[in-house]
Amino acid sequence: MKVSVDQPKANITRIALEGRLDVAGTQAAETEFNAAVASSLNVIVDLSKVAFVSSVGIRMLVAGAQDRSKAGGKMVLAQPDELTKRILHTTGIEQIVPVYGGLDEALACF
Amino acid sequence: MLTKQRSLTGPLGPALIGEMGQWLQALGAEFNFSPEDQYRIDLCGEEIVTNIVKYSDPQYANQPVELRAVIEPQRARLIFIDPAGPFDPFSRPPPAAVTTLENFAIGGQGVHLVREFTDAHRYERRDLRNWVELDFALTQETMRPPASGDMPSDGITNRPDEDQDAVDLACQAQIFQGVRRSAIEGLLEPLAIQDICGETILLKPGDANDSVRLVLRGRLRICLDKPGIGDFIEAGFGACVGEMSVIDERPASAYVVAEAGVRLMIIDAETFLHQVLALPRVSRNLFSIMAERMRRSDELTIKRVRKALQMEQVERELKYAHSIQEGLLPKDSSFSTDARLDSMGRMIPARDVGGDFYDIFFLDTNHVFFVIADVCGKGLPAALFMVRAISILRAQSGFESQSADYAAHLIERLNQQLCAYNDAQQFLTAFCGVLNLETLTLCYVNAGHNPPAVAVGREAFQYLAEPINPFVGMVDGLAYRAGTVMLQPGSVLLLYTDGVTEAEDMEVNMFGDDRLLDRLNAAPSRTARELVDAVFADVRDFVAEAPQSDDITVLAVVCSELTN
Repeated sequence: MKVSVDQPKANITRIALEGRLDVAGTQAAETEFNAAVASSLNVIVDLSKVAFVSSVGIRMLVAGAQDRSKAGGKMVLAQPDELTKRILHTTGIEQIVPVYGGLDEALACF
Repeated sequence: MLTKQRSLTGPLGPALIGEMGQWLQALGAEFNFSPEDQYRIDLCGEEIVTNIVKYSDPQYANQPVELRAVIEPQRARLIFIDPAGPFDPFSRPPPAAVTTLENFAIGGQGVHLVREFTDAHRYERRDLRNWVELDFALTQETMRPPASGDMPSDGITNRPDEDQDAVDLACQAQIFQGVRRSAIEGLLEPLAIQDICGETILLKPGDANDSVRLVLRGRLRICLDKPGIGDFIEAGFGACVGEMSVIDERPASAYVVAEAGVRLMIIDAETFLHQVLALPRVSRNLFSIMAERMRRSDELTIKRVRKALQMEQVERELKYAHSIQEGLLPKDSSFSTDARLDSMGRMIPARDVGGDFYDIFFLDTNHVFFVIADVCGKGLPAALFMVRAISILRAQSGFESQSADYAAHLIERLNQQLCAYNDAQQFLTAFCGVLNLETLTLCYVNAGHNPPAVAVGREAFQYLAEPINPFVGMVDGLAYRAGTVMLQPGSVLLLYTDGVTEAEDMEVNMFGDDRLLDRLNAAPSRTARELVDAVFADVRDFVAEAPQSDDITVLAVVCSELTN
């Protein structure tokens, strides 16, 4: 599981995840991910290179969004693949964490 | 309809989640799952295994969990079989609709995903296990192996490598030696392949067994005793286990333990009895396998019997040693002939033989000598040292018996002689004394021993603390200081070893010095026998079921009231 962070726009942090958000992958990424989330009020989590998400991955993503919301900021998800999108839909995450098909749309929401 | 069976077995624990994840990916590679099917299968597999690991009681840790996959051309079924207490993951209602980020609860989402991403799901409690079955209608046909009628020429097939390997490997097994591949491949292809991802007990004595396991990779251990204790027979590549109990339909007679990384081909009883055994060459191979196995188990049995006989011999010799040691100590009757003296001694060794001893004898008509000692250590080495010490004491006791320093000199000589030949660096503590029955003067030496309890006349017991000297046998040339105490008729000296005061109960509390004094002071009368009996009875009550950890020895010396 790889976590990379950049700033596509002032005051917006993009966290690009790469790999599988299964039990092992989530465990490996969690500390780094949480630190990256806490580094900025506005966060885009780029899922374009995430091949798999299970409920532990969902838990990590929701915890990140809750954390930003408490801090007065916002976290959104971008570019999930079709099956990940289905998982975000099935679990109801898409109702509480904005999900955008493209990065530009995500950037525009802040 | 062609069906393929694969399974993975591993010990219940967190590592299982990752192992099963990897195994499911390998399964997808073998059977050509589409990315979508693989995603759904990985997802549901992880959620179910995580549930099993998370919600099973710790008492089930490391018990085998099995994941079976039944693959058909257009359908995959996963079956999770775990040994934990009854738990139906589908009994919980679906999670409440998500409304706000703040009140989102992750609980129940895993099972919810399983419900949504499978085409059917079932739970059943069967054979004391939880069975969770998940069905997936596949979007892409699994790579279809040729039907057995197609019979491709050897080596040229379009089947996936994994599968090819399994049948290839099985054909090399001892049981199929000399059998043409074409005669068995059709038989072997549909058989289940079982992988083991962590050391697992596959069979226990008494378990019903309905299949023959053929080792394709790794090693099985067949143990007569609980795994980890004693010898085992190894079953490596090409060996099979379970054929005996399949043939005679009796339960397994040994433990079968699979090491991590083992791959097995499972030949079910039906296939084995009706198809495999029907091949003439196989029956012959089976006879030689059984003959070989019998020879090996005979060798094991002979080794065990020999060991048992040796143990019996050692035990017999220890019993002799015990009676020799008992014979060395004074008998009750032999040292109480003088009416002025009432005495009694008893030793109960912790093992067959002990390192404690006591002795009491008359030096002349008016002087009685007594000693109690505790050799450091237990068992045979301590017992041998004890025999040496008691022999030296008896041999040296004849000299200058009237001298006031008699006891001190005797211990000094004992120390010197023990030091002279003591390569094993053993030592002992001792208390000895000479009692003049005319004057009731007691001269004594304490060489590092527990202070005896003394009661002068009718007074209460107290410990005779001074003077203390070093223990005996380690430092050559020591001088020992003696003490003197004047006794009266009815006075009692009670000697004991630390087996009394350091006796431990079930909660590892020590008997203690105070309890001993209390017990002695509470004794209704002060005859030697009564006091010795009382101390032993009290120690026994105190210790209860706890094992005896040290030799226990008590010697009571009483100046009779008749004196004067």
